[in-house]
Amino acid sequence: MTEITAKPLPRLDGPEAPFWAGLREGEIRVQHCVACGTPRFPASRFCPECHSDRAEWRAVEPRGEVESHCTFHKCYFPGFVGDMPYTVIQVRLDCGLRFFSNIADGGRPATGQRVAAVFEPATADVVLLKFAPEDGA
Amino acid sequence: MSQIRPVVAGVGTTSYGRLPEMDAYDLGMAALTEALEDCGLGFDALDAVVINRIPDYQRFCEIAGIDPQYVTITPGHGRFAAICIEHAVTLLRSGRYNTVALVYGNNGRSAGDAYGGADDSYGSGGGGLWFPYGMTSPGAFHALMMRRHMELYGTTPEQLAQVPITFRDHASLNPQAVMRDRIDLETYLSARMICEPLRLFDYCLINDGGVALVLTTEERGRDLARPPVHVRGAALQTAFKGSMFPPDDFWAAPLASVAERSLGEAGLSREDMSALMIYDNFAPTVLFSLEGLGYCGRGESGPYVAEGHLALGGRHPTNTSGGHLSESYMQGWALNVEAVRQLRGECGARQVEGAANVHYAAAAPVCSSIIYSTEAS
Repeated sequence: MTEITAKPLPRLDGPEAPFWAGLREGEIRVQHCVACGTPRFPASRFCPECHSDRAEWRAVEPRGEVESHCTFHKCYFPGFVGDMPYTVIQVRLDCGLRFFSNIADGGRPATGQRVAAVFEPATADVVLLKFAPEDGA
Repeated sequence: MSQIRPVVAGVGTTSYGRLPEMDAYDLGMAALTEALEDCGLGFDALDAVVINRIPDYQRFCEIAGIDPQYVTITPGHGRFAAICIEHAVTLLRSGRYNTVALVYGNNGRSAGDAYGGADDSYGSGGGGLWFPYGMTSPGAFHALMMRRHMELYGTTPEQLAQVPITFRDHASLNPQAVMRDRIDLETYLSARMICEPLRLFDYCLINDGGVALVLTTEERGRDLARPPVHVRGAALQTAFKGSMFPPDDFWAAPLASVAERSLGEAGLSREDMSALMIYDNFAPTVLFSLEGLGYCGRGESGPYVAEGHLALGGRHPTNTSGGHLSESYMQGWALNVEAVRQLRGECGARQVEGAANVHYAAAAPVCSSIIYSTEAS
């Protein structure tokens, strides 16, 4: 009998709680500096650009570009055993913020490829931000 | 007032490998003992001590039986080798301290350090945020950089292979190296992928070991047991903004900055360098370093290394000890010792004939460059 080990899950009640709540509602919500407007992720109290501590969480355009990708052949997390080998992508959203993620269908990405967000449920509470090739791209 | 000139007076290294009977304190202590014997100074001569990777400075000094005036401790990240050396240079140049020991002890192999998985904190400590996507490890971070370099510039796996193959050739001449069996292209390409496009031989070797350097002023170093090696130029440049992700420029801007400032301080050029010691936690960092430091053009490191310039007898023999990929991952420390030993002419079969200047550099969120010379500027 095979024991199923779960994949690592994000901490939903941490400083990025509004981000995870946004994904559940189909939005990429990140902190924006109220003073200078610069978006930032992960969360921090102070804006790295202007050092203001006034920030609000709002949605950004769910589109971007694959900057690079790598394929794991060594398994670091028991929960990924069944996915080996799997590919991680480095995405730059059009707002400039970057994320590590995966192509939603497990497909092979290409550097420079345009992608759109896919809000993929991982558990009853957790939705992960994944990506798929943009329509017509 | 004339500038105080810092020199490396003594160096010490333990053997490298699996040394479960030694903890990090023991490894640092063994290396420091050798470094002091090397230059003929006693423990009491140390008026400043900088500890790296050993867990506790107080316990280390208690074990060493020393009460230096000054002590500090630094995180066990490889970028800190050069930061500690820069720190020693600054302490000596201040005129407030005369003899500084830098002590490194690493029992990572026996302790089972993994650099990936649940305990990973690489990338501004943000690791945990990306675990749900399977993203982890400094190796994967460098794999992402290498993939992008390949797609931007057409760099090939066969070109990248020349880095570990050449360093292994060098290690075959170094009795202290952990891996001494030479490898060829076929062996490199057929080895297992770890994080594609990086293969087994692109990764450094986690081992146990200790390294120590004793630095003093030129004036004091003149009368010691070994010929002093001048720290003729040194520079650091951080690249922390947005550093949870790989840098767009492969650290070219901070590397160019440290190269210009350290070579300028030394009054030397790249052509003056007899050998290079390049921080090789992963093979790709050697390519990024060669470009950023100006040893080849942007995007040209693949063809450059394929032309054999890194080999003993080549234009700039690089990592003559075998480096982190083949000697042992001593996080930059052992590469700095190799620079000193080359300049003293102590390297036996791997000695660079007439070595006069050696350039150490690291490409990381703290970029660094140090120019070692037999002569003062």
